[in-house]
Amino acid sequence: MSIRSFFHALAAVLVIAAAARPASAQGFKVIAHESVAESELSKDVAAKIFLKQVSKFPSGAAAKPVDLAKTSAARAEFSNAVLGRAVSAIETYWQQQIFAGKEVPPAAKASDDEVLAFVKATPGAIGYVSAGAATAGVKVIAIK
Amino acid sequence: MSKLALCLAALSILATTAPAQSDLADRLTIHGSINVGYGKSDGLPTFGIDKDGSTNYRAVALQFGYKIDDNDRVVTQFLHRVNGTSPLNAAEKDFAPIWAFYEHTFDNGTKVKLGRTPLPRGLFNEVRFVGTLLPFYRVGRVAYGETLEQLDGVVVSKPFDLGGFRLETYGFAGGFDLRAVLAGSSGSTVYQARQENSYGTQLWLNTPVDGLRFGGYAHSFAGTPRLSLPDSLRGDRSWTWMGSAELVKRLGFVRGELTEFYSGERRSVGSWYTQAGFTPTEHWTIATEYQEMKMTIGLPAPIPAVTIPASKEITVGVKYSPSANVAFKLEGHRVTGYDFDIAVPTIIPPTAPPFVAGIAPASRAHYLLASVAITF
Repeated sequence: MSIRSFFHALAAVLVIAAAARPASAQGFKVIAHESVAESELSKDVAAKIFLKQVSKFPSGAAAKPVDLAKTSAARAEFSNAVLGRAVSAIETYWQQQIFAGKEVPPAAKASDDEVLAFVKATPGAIGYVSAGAATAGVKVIAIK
Repeated sequence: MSKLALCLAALSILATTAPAQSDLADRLTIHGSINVGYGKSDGLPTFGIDKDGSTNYRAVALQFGYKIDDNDRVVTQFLHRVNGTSPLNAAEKDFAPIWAFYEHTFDNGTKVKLGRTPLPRGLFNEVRFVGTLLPFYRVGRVAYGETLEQLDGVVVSKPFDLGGFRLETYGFAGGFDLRAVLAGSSGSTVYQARQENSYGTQLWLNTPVDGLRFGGYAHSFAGTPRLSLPDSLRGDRSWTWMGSAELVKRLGFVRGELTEFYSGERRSVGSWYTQAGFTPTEHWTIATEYQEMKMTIGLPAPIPAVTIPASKEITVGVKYSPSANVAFKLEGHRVTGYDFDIAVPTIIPPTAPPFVAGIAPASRAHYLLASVAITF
């Protein structure tokens, strides 16, 4: 195998590996209150919920998104993977919403434990935590 | 409704629904925007920047929001704005509520704002004071001016998902203050007239291409003379429209807006601008803007109306944003035309048949503006 062929094969493997990477391997898990009917959401729907472009789950129940702090590694991963933009770009989006008098961002919790506590206690809540966080008492939502 | 009454109404809602203190942090939001600058011109004063330079150039907004429940909230935003030596300063209060509205969200996503609300007009009207969101210190001067900023009335909005497209619709009705600087031979004055019984719409079509959207705005309004006039002497209804297009990507942006005002048959103003920016890294943006305004002025009969190229402005600037909440900007402007803070030769009156007015040579000025913007 020539060096050129080797790099082509390596690039192909990396592309396939990245595309096949499950959400749980991306450093975060999306969680929701146990009453939420959905067990999976498309990226598009999840993004609209967290950007407050829709206020309900596809089932019709009210959605109450919650964020992690903007310095959190899990938030950076979630932002890129689900919202399709870096955290700073999402901050700019929220500035536009706030100062246009349209919306305010979801509450941002300082830690996984605080997100878990909020999601457990709030019907309709949806958030995300680090991939290694315990998720007892909440529902893990698959993002497709 | 007066500003005071609006504030009182908002505060009374707050007072009657005051929750326990532990709940307050979840309900109350406080945000602010600070935009301060230093400007210096090489000659003619333009929008408050003269050859002596001025640090008296800033816009500070402070916003309070209170969530009454999942579907209801009240928002008020205060503004302190000074524009150097601009005559507009005389029409500004030191610190005034520019918004005070109640908003209800229906289960189908329809939102209704009542009170003094931001006017949905073009890409930047609602965020015109927020320097971190703008490539330059202020929004395009000729397209936005310092008017049509807020509406006293009602704004109804509803988004629609249309396949890969997302349509945002706004309908509004109410009154507002129309304002402009009139530079005359005896000095500059601020024209300010209350416009009532206005109605209009703003539509946004967000395309499946991330960052690409198109907008259209139309607004009809009528001046309300403070002195009682017979109907025969009242002016016709005026109207304005704006078309917008924008593409924003990680590596840069390009956008443009076109607007026109019509006020009677013999007076109209048409303006447009285009901006382009390159963002080589998350922190740096290099941007340029070209804007142009044409004005048609009616003259006493039988002299035909004359259209003048009132202003042409080229801007180049650099913006450094260490974070989404802070921006440092440096920009240079070249203004050519007849729209300055002091009167410049504009129309040459005809003295002989066929009595067609001439246009004086355009004047020119350059100015620099350095600014810092912070939001929280």
